Amino acid sequence: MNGFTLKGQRPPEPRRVNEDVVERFEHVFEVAPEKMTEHIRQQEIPAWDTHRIVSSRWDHLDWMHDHWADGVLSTGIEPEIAELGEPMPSEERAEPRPGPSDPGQRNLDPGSAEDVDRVDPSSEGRG
Amino acid sequence: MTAAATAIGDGVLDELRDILGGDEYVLPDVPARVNRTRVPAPFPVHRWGEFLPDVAVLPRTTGHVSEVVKLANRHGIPVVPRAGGTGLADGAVPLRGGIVVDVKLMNRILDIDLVDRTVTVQTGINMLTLNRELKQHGVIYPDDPASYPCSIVGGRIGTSGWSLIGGRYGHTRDLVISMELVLPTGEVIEVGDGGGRKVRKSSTGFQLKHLFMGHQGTLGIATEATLELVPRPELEFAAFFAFSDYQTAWEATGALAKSGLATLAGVVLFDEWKLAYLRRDDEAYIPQPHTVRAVIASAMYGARDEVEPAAKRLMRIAKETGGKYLGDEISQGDWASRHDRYATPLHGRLKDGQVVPMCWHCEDASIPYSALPAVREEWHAIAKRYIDRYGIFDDWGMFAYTNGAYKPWGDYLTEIDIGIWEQELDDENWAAWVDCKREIAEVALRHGGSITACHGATRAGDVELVPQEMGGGFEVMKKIKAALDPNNVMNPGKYLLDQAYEGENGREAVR
Repeated sequence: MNGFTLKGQRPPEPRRVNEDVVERFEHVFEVAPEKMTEHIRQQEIPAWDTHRIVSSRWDHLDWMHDHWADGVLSTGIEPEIAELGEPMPSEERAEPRPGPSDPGQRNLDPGSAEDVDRVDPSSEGRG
Repeated sequence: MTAAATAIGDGVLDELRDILGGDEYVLPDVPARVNRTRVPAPFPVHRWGEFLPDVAVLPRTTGHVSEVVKLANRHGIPVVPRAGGTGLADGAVPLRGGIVVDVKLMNRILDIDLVDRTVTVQTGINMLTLNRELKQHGVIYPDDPASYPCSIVGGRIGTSGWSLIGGRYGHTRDLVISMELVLPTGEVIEVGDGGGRKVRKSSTGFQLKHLFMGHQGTLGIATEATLELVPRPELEFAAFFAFSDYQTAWEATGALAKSGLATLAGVVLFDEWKLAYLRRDDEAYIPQPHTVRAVIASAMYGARDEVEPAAKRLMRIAKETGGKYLGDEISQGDWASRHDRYATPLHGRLKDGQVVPMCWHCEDASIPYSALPAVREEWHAIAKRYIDRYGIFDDWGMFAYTNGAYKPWGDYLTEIDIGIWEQELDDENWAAWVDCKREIAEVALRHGGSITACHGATRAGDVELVPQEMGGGFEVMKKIKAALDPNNVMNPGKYLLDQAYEGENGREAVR
């Protein structure tokens, strides 16, 4: 666990994703600042608060999965659509996604995009 | 504040306090009434005072509700039932003041029957809360609206709600086995399919349960309900697929929906406008390249031995019909986010791109599969005309969601989401919105659909078309209303049912 650092309170400068969106941490997006100048102003959010919000978000999604079923079936298949843009530099990433709520979860054996039958009947989901 | 003055006298308030057992259950103060005026659907905020109730009450028992309704009949006061207040029609919005019966304190679980597989509740309970309790017993009540964290069983009955996993488990009408009901006269009855409260199928008499589903508070107040229990799923499987054009995605949607996979809970088709909207703000879609012009979401639930082979089949169908898998993280995360629009602040964009606070409105309809492409084109054209002319609307795209209970094919819950800048509403802009809404509903009817799959059709812009959609059935509706509610106290003004008290019926609306 990291202690307080001044650097940790200041979010990095954003990079442009598209005409509507900027990104300060990997996969943490913000409305492009020039879109919020007349009717609603953007707030400055310290880095720790962004990390808290992202972590809480993952907590919530894990909770919702667990609420509805004992386990979640994963395919292990990589996305077949390449995302736009380059990865963020490592020092500008948000904290990695925390592990699943149940340490027993594991993905199925990864399959290739061409082999959809690799959804493995013997695998385990969460829970 | 003149508009906030209550029209109910002290004598009536005292009677209500006697019925309900204390001051804390009778709320004539302005905040309590203002907070029980609107619902999340677009609302003429510049005319808020016209829709204020005179008093809100918080019953705890069926007897309380019955006595309040009897009092309303004695004094000729409108009664408006309110559950979660999350509806997207205006069933819970008082049109003529009166008493709002807020059922949220009627939230007890009365009986969990793991032998006959039912749970009996008071209707003020929220489904998420109920399922937290049921989890320990290995069962769930699978009614899953977008408003799941905040909507309430009583409102689901009043609107005949639709469930996101209804293709697997059925919708509210299928999941409520029977209910206890306070009629508009205050009489208490039980209705179901027949026989005892836990009988799911009977052929005795009229099938009255459906009459008291979706009446938007015009035929009484459900106070208890016996609900279906199903085994808690061992596995959840969600898979999202990208497509380069709508036509291919539409064909793939049909192929998935007709797959016959019993664990398939739903298939959703997002169109290009929806993706453009999601690319502004949604972390799952912002990184997607612009070659992605349609997305299909699908989900399955059930036992491991069912879901695992079914998932393989689903993946194969999607691949063979042109889908590109978006990966486990997006599929699982976006599916788990399916209730979020009720919990997040909403904003839209003006034509110059500036962000403004907007109210979300989804205009829903039931549309046959074959008509989806044409309806999509016509709806977006309507939205564009109003956006261009008035500048306070924003097209947030469309989706089409398998609509049938247990058999997810044939017709689709189809929605176009439109943002409305409510702060700019005045009489002219509100009238424009109502016209827009009506045009959208007319398209649905023209293509053999229904005005609404799940919200209800009580709002201006919809309700004018109800007699057209219902045909001779609307005349039956009026006769039933006049017979069950002789003094027109239950949610008067809704569904054009004041007509039941005109002409030969010889009665006039109470107020």
